[in-house]
Formats: sequence, structure tokens, C-alpha cells
Amino acid sequence: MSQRKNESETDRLPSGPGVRVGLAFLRIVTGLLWMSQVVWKWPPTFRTLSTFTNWAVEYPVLKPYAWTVETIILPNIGVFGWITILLEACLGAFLILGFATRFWALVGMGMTITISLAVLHAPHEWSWAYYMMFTLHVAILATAAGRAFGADGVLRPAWLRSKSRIARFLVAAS
Amino acid sequence: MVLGIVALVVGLSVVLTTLDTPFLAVNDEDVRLLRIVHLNTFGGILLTIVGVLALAGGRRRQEGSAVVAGGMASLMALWALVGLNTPINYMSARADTFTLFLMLSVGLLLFTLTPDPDN
Repeated sequence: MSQRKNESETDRLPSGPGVRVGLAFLRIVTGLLWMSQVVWKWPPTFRTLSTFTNWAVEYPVLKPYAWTVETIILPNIGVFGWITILLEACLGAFLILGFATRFWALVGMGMTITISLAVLHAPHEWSWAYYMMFTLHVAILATAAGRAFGADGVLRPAWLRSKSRIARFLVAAS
Repeated sequence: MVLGIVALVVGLSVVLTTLDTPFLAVNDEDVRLLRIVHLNTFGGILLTIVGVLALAGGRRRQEGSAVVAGGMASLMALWALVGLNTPINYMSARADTFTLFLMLSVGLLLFTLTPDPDN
């Protein structure tokens, strides 16, 4: 019995104030990363974004993705540009705020994969930057970092008490 | 306390994001823009004062200031989003400004909708 208790104490992850500060720092810095990247995507032409997106065709990572970019995304860059701006702005806003953090970490992973598929084989790109970006979101998802100094931590008790669909979604997303 | 501080932060953010806009119009297009920006600056200063007053008041006064701050933040987010689609390149019409005010307006909305734990 005592050996079992010792084992569980050995396995238990730390959850002290230092860990909470570290998780909040990780989440906020990741949010700031998205917030800083939303600035250079200027509508309505999205010229710079088009250049980077075009790398998926010039230096393909995955052939079907290159085809999708060439035939669907680039001809409609106005629409996809706005989707990108809104998604990245929401990622920045809600990761900093710590609201529905696990859901936004998943969205961040999806966005990182999309970006990586466009630029990973382009010259002068450092591929590890994108692997690290993906890892940041995995860490946020795994640790539910919004519960440390975030809106999730403050509002979760109220969501847990409520039986509405939105509250149930937010419990899962936080 | 927190709601009063947030109102203060929103007020100061509004003022800061309008600081890089020229005070006087250069051409006709700027006149329309400046009317809105000056209105934003005025609203931001007013909100900063409301935030300071709310800090000295009770929860009700703080909740009132939070609602005003939330409304102002939503308007600023909307203005930044609309401004993005124009040739205007001032701080009040940028995507990161939109992100900032989206965060503040959703944050304020969430906290004002959450029931007071004391009741």
C-alpha cells in the first residue's frame, strides 16, 4: 500500500505556482506569436500571403495539397485571406485570454500543419521552427494551459454547474 | 476591482491606438476618417475616467463601467476590421488592433455574463 502511494507520488506531475506561471507564459507567448503574424496579411489583395502560399506549388511538400492550393486557394485568395486573418486573430485573442484554450490549441495545430505544407521545402526556411510551433500547441492542449491565470480557470466552475450544450462544449474545450 | 482595471485598460488602449493618426486632415478622405478617430479618442479618454471612478466604487459601478468598456472595445474591433479593407494604415485600423479589442470585448462579455459568486 505504502509502495503504491510512493509510486503515485513519483508519477504525479508538479502543479505548484511556478508551473502555473510557466503554463500561462507559454500560452500568452503563443497567442502573441499569432497576433504578430496577423499584421502583414493586408486585404484586399493579400499580396504577401499569396507569395508564401504560392510556395506550396513552387516547392511542393505534398502533391494533393499543392494541387488544392493552385486550383482552389490561390484563385480565391480574397476569401481564404480573410479566413486566415480571422482565424489567426481569434487564435491570438483567445490564447492570450485563455478562453476555450484546448479548442484553440487544436486550431493552432491545424493552422501550423497548413502553413508547414506550404513553406517547409522552400529555400532558407528553417523547418524546425514549424515543428516547434506545432509542439507549443501540443503542450497547451495537453496541459489545459487556459486554467492557469486564464478565463478557463475562472469560468470553468460555472460551466461545470450548467447543463447547456454551450457549457458542455466549453468544459471539453477548456 | 478587476472590472474597473479592465475598463481603465480598454480606455487607455483606445487612446493609444489613435495616437499615430494626424490631428489635422490632409485630404477629403482623411476628414471622414479623422471624425471617427477623434470620436474614438474622446470615448477612450472618457472611458479611462470612468475606469478610474469605478475603481473607487462598488461592484455595481464596476459592472456598469465594464459594460461601457465592452461596448467600446467591440466598436473598436469592428472599426479595425472595417479599416483593414481600406488603404488607411493607422494603428486603429490594423489586424493586431482587431485582435486586441476582440480579446478585450469577449473577455468583458464573459466576465459580465458570469454570475457573481457572492450571490
